[in-house]
Amino acid sequence: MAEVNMQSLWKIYGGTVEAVKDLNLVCRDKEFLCLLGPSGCGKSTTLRMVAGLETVTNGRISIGGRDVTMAPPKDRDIAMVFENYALYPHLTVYDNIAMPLKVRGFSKAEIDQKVQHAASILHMTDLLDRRTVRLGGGQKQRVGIGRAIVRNPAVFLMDEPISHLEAQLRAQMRVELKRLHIEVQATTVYVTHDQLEAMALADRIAVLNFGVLQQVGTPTELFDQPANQFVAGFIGTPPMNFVQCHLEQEGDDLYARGQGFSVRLPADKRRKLLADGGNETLVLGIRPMDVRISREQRDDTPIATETFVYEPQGETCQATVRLDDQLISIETIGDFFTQAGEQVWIGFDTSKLHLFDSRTGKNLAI
Amino acid sequence: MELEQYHFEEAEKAKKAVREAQVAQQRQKYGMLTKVVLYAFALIFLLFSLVPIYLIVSSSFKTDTQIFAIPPVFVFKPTLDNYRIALTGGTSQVSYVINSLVVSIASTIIAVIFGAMAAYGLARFEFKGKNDLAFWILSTRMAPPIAFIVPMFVLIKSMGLLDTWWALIIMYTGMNLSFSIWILRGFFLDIPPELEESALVDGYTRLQVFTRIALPLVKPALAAVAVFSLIFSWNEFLFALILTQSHSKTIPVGIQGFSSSMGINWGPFMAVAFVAILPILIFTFIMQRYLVRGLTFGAVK
Repeated sequence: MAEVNMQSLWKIYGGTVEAVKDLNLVCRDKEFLCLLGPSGCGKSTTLRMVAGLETVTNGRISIGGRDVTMAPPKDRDIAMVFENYALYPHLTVYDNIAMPLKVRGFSKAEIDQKVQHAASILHMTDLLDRRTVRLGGGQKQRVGIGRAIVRNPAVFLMDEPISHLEAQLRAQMRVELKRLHIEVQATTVYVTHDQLEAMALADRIAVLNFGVLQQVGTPTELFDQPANQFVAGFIGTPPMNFVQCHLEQEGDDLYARGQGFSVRLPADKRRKLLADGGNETLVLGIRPMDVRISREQRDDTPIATETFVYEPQGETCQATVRLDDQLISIETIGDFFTQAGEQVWIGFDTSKLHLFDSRTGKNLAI
Repeated sequence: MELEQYHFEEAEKAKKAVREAQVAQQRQKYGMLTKVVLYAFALIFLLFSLVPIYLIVSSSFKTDTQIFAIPPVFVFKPTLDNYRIALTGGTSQVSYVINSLVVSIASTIIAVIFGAMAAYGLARFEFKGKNDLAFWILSTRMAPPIAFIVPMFVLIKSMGLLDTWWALIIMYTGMNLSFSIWILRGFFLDIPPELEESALVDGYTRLQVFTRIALPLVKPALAAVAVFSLIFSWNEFLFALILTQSHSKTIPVGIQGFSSSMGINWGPFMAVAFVAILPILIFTFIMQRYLVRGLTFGAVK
């Protein structure tokens, strides 16, 4: 097992298209690191550079302390799982899993023992002599994972391995992947655009956008202290609400005011904002679960709004209200009910709100 | 796991049942009249294709009088005289058949091997002027051969290759290559790149990926290209006529030898024609199973 180290990594296509810009990232030994971002953010390119399938324009990659920037894929001691499985269609499950061992000249007995072991980890010993074309998507990917773990490589690279599967199967495979990581304890770099998947699986997540690393941290860190508006909006469902606001000082108190609302900021946030030099137009961010809603005006729900839609979802319900011309979604628990057009009152949990620079998107309150 | 597999198989079964029902329904739609018309067309097409072959084969076993008898003779005592004239003695075509075999097989093998390598390169690697190169390769087939027959003659002559196997092998390889490259390139492009990348990660070198992953997957295309190249080389007449005189004359030119200012020697003509058809027929039958099988890969999804 080993650490993957990316140092000022650049990938430029055709001299102009910057897919990855100056990426510095470490995947620690035995760590499950997710590269998360929207499509085209450079996460797959990064993974493919680590795999050696894409040349590095500039920078260095080392695996287990060894510089592999120029090494061909086969000499990097990695295994990769692909989005579309990439199984050899003319071979059986057994032969697919055995392939990396055969190529490397293992003995027949050794191959058999390792393939059986991998198959038992993945619960597919009874499917070994099937042709892979006759398997469902989940199982195809299980074969793909089997082919990766059979060799016991230093690093696993997974490129959206379960994003082709349907929702239910995806949830099931997520559990299996997490369990597999607990059992095998392999250093894993995992690419996904699904923030739920990243949150569920990763020890740490690296969020990328437009080829630039936005933030690296544990799922909780990213959720509670997003470095900027992009990370804040990308992580969490339903996504964080953003409303325009500006700061106003009244005596000792600092207020964030926008169309139809005024929020007194707690002392700790106040200090940071004032230290920042009093940037006046800001974006206020608050997660749907941190907005209170009530049918009457109370101290903790002082803002008058009108219900836009109300969506029951079983455990929780989601209300979307109109605050002036902006929509705010709210997650409610319990038996709160409202219907479109009704007047409701909302209030922000000020300890949980974030303030972002409206130009740079930087989180000013952390 | 068993449950997942069970669901998958059940779903496949259901899909299959629906498909079969749809096909059955479609079949019922065609009435009797439609069927009669369809079969009539099929029959006409069949006659159109098979009558010439019947004439060649039957005439090759007939005497001259029988060939031109009106009404045509369908039952006759076959004679091998035509074959004797065609294959032995001064008018023997055997060496021409051998020439044809050598030239066709050699040019086919070269065109398939180099075609596959060039096609793979064009399909998988990015380099400057790639599309121009691909188009240039295609463009070599655009001019009618008669247009460059004179310059080619001069070239081959100055290389001292006139009337040798090499003259024709070079010409036919050149003409088959463009076809083989374009067909194979399409097939290589159809292989999901991940399949090859996965093999690279598994421990193969690029060359091994080509020979052990890519080539086996395009077997049907290789077979198709080989069949077409062989047919083209075997049947080519113009270059064979101009670039050979006696030593390396091929069978199409040989056949033509039976028609002269004195008239056409029909019996031996037909006998040689039949001999000329046979190898291609046999080869195509052998290759047929590769042509149909495995055209769909099913590697992705």
